[in-house]
Amino acid sequence: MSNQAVPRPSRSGPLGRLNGPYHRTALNLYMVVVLAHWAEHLVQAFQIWVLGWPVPQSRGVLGLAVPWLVTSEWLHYGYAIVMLIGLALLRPGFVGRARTWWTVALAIQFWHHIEHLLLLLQAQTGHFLFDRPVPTSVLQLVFARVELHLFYNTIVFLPMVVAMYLHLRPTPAEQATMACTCAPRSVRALTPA
Amino acid sequence: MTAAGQDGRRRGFGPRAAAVAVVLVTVVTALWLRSPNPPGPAETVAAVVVPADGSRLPTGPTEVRLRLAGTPDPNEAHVSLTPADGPQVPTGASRRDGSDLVVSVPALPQGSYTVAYHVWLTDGRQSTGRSVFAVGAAPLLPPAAVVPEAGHQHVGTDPLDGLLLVLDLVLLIALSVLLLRRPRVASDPEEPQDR
Repeated sequence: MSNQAVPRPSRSGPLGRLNGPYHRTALNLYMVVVLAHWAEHLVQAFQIWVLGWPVPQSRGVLGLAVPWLVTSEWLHYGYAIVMLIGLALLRPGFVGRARTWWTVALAIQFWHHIEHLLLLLQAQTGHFLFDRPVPTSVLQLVFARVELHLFYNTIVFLPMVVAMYLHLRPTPAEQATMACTCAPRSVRALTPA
Repeated sequence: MTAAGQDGRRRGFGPRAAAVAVVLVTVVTALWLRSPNPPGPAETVAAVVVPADGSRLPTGPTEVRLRLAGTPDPNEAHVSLTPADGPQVPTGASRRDGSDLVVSVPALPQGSYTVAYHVWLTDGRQSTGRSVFAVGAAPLLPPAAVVPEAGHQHVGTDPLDGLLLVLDLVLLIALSVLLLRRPRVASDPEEPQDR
């Protein structure tokens, strides 16, 4: 997590290329998935609070076409897995402060994935934790009302946005250790230390 | 995603084009959502509950079954089983069996039980109600004033959810601006480029 300008040894192999010349493209694609996911949730909120639709019928855009998919525990677990894999695979391309924030997002997402796994197992087996009559997450023991998926994705999204800001606007010291092209050279030269 | 032009600057899907695309997608989606008749109060259909309402059973049932005039959505089904005196009985997860919704129940001691349910069908209709049955020699009591527990939802109407969504909207806008407003990459043969 140091900000020292230690040149990063070039890495070979698929992971090295992913976090080198292809980091910008991969990160862009990953962000498109993240933004599309949030857009879907905001559409759901729009349907509930602005259009006044009943909650079970407010299924976003995807849910209008494939209603069963949105209520599936598998969909949310699948997205949690995709997020976790993306955060882990793209992490080596981050340096300095951006890497610290990206790692925070990765750690939270790991626990988020565990929570979804617990819910999925409860839904599949019919055995519910904590003597509850429905599948229950650990978080719901503390915050009974909060919505699990929304809460965890928010607290993962927050450090992710900070990491992206710092990754695209690195200090010269951080820039010296970057192997990717995410931050343009002109920006790298102009950004004060 | 971009290509180098003759003037040394990359050309392609720039921030302005991306911003226009985002606006267009948003407008088209909003129009699409507004165009169909917004769903009004969902039609309610009756369900036949097994064990039947008011029935007396010599031994406890192994399952509670709701017979519906449509296909139930087990993910939007909430069925609770509550004795006349005591906490709610843990039941199995809801599952679909044709047009029936089924939940398994553990061995029940004698007593009077209330089944409370709220089920959404895949066609947008819903079924809700309460039913009672008695096990053994216990007297059959009126239905308890219970509602089925809803468990967790993925987007709810709780103010906390609203607060989180507002924060997410701010973060989403911030990330979008961050991605769209970043300076272009100058062409540099010594610098690796994404393709």
